Amino acid sequence: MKHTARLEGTHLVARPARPSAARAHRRAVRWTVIGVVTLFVAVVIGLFAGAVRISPVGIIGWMLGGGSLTEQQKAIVAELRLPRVVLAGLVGAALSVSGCAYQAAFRNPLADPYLLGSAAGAGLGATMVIVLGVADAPLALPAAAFLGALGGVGLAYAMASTRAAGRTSTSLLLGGVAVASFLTALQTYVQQRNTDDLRAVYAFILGRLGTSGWHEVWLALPWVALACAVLLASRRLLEVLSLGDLEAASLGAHVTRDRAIVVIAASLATAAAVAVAGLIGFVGLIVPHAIRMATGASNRLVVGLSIVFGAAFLILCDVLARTVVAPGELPIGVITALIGAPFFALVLRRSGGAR
Amino acid sequence: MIDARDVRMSRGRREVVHGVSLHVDAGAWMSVVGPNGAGKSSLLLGLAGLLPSQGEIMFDGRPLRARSARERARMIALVPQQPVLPDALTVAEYVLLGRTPHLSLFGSEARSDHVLAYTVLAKVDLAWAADRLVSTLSGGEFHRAVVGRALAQEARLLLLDEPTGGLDLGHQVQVLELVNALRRSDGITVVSAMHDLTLAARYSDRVALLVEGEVIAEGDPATVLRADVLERHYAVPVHVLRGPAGELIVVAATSESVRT
Repeated sequence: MKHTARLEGTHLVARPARPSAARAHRRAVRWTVIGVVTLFVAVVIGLFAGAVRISPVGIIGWMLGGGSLTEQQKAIVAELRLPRVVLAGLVGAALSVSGCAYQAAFRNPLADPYLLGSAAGAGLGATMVIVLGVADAPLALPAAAFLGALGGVGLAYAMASTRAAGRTSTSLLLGGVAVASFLTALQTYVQQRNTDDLRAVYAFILGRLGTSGWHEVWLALPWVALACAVLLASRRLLEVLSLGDLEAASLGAHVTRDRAIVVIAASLATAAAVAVAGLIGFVGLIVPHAIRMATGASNRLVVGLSIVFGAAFLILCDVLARTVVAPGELPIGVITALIGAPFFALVLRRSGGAR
Repeated sequence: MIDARDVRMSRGRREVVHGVSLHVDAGAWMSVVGPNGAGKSSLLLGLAGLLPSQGEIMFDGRPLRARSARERARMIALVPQQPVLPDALTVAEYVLLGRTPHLSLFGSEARSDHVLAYTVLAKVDLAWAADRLVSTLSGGEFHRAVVGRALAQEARLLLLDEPTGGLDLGHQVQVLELVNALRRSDGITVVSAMHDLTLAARYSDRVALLVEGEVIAEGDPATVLRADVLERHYAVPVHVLRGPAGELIVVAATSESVRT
């Protein structure tokens, strides 16, 4: 007995090498699997929901390459529902991962594409291109949305970075709110001046996935993929930046450059999402924070999980948007705002305010 | 090791360090002491290359300016005065961030980095807390984690900005003993900004008294920490006593003994 006791005593000191590295790895694998399964289920539900009833078993069979669907059912799933599900997934992934990136880069738990003014900037950029009639030129729409998004974040950051503003998290958010309101007002003005269709204005401001086909998917996909790749590669960088400018610099990071990499990639993802889906708020806030609360993990893991869970989340929101008032359709931004605003209050409570 | 000549630094439009020259030998411990607002922190950050400075700072005979940020971080590690407490990092992950200057921009840690982090955790006596969240540590434990992160940089110069700030007596000595032991075992050079003159005297080989951005006196603790010098610059009567082992004890005089 004595012998065992002594062994137990030394056990604390002589631990096997890298226990926490192994544990962190297991956690990452576990949550990635949960994320992928969730995404798969969301896609099945997304393909299932609609006026024509098609059995989920048939849908899963079709997704796996076989199945018992009739030609008509296949056409509905493949040509009508799939592009919309894929688009919702892309937009959800883009908004979530950019929210996660903005939160880390600005060290502000309440930062998200919507609140920082980058979504509004992208919206203005996209509207300008449409109004000027050059939307069909290749890359014009994503490029304008991207410039608008960067402009929005840049303005908010510049407003918050003045000496008078005190460079606090709060001033960044206040700057973002002001910039977002201003750019949204400009966007509405431009659109009102150039179209009589009020519905289109509202559709844009509230977000929409309705007019979707493969065209929008191909428009957004390359930019979302590029941004996700950069942000995934930067996930360690996000942890370094979370230590603040002084400590990050003392670890040899080029803080300004590194933050710019993250912000530009996040703005690219935001712009791609806004260019195809309008303004959809709160996704970038809800998804990363829900992941943080559930996993207790740092940004290194949250970045990747934001992509899969963000995609699943918006696919499910879109299902709600198309079914709750069927045969009509709610703008998806209404759904995310209904979930997001209470969630925002929760995050605000938990983070003790943006200090 | 480090040779600073005529270093001038400004914060905003105000010059806070006026032409400071310092020399620190390899393996030595130099403490920079002085009243609040003397420019101790600024000087330390300037030596780390983290704040712009004029004049010349040589590290191993080469100007610090000529080195990249990564190179600097491999040579000089900073333990800041008020380190940021991250939300969701474990102690092991936190210490691993010290490997940043050894990794490429988008790189991640190799097995050898993990092994090193565990060696460091054992040195700062936090191996048991490797999987705990940094945010759940006590003040003294977090302080040791920050020292651990600095050690993981494998830098030869360790800059400590008020290493005992916010710590109780026991933890103050614990942190300084730890640094001192590491200095002995790993041959690290230490420059610290210190408020506590007794602790500065006990641990450092040399002390520089910085007042309003200028070095007033520099040398071994006994020559710099003299009552008459300190009284003049701290604007309070000071007793410099000898402890049982002959160590210097610096205390401000009590109100009864204040001469009017």
